Amino acid sequence: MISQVVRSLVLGACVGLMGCAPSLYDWGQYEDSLYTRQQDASESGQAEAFKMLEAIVLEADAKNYRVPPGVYADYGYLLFKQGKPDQAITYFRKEAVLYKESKYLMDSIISRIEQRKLQ
Amino acid sequence: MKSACLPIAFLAILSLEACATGPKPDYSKFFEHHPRSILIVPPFNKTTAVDAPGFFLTTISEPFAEKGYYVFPVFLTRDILIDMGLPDEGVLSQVQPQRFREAFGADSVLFVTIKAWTTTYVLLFSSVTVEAAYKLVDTDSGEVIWEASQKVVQDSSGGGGSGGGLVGALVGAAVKAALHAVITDYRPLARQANSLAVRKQRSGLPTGPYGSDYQKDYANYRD
Repeated sequence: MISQVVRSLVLGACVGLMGCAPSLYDWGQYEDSLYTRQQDASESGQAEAFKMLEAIVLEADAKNYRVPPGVYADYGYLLFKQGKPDQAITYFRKEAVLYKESKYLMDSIISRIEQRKLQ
Repeated sequence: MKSACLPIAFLAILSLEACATGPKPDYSKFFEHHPRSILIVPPFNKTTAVDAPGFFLTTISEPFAEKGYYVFPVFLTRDILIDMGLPDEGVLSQVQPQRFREAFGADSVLFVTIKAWTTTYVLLFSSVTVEAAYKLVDTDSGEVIWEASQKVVQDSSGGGGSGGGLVGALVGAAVKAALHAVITDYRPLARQANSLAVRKQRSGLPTGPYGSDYQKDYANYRD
């Protein structure tokens, strides 16, 4: 209760100072997923990052939230690096559908993956 | 959903020296182009901390996306740029902005320069500083449509006041300095710098297409 009051006071002060709004997205451990990869670019670092992204994707899907920009694409990218091009394409497509701004890049990545599969 | 406001409010109390300098920015170019998407490329590092760009990059997507923009995934972007033969931050600012549109379909590209990423120790005090300059460029016209600069300083002056006199204070400071030398995590400060740069009234970034204030907050940036 008290913490709620404090929270709303802080929020009020914050809106006054910065004019900020509540979060648009639930980011989960997105930043940590990047940090982990930055610190440890090996397969184990990537596997750890993959789990963090997977949690965001599963949670958003279960609750019908909008996944933050870039998360599906990043998740697809890690799938691709794990040698799963078909699953990767699924998530690149999801990114393109959810965020039309990404369609151009996602389409070009997908067509490059498909070309590579033909070779 | 958690609120993005708490850390910012905390920061506002913590460090009001993060102040704006220079004349009031002109938003006419911004509103002329009003991008929907932002391509964040690896920062240019003006500090001696070689790991600064990589760590900085982990903190910057959220504030720009929370302001309502589509932000391209930063590591995928970095890897594609390497594929394109543009691995070095220094050369990126010389690339024709239109190339970022051709390769990524991005409306705008954000160049960040890291100006400070440092810890200094003065007697009993240690102070961590992160400073960055931001430049958003329209990938169609090549024009700069938004610029900001942000510095965040955190003093760990102890203040524990747990007694022990001067010797206690000295030992405490030495221990603290030793700890900091090993584990200084600049990310919270980088995150704060990014949030402030984006959200500051009058000099921040107007709301993008996914924000509820899209096209409603223009008045805050014009007069």
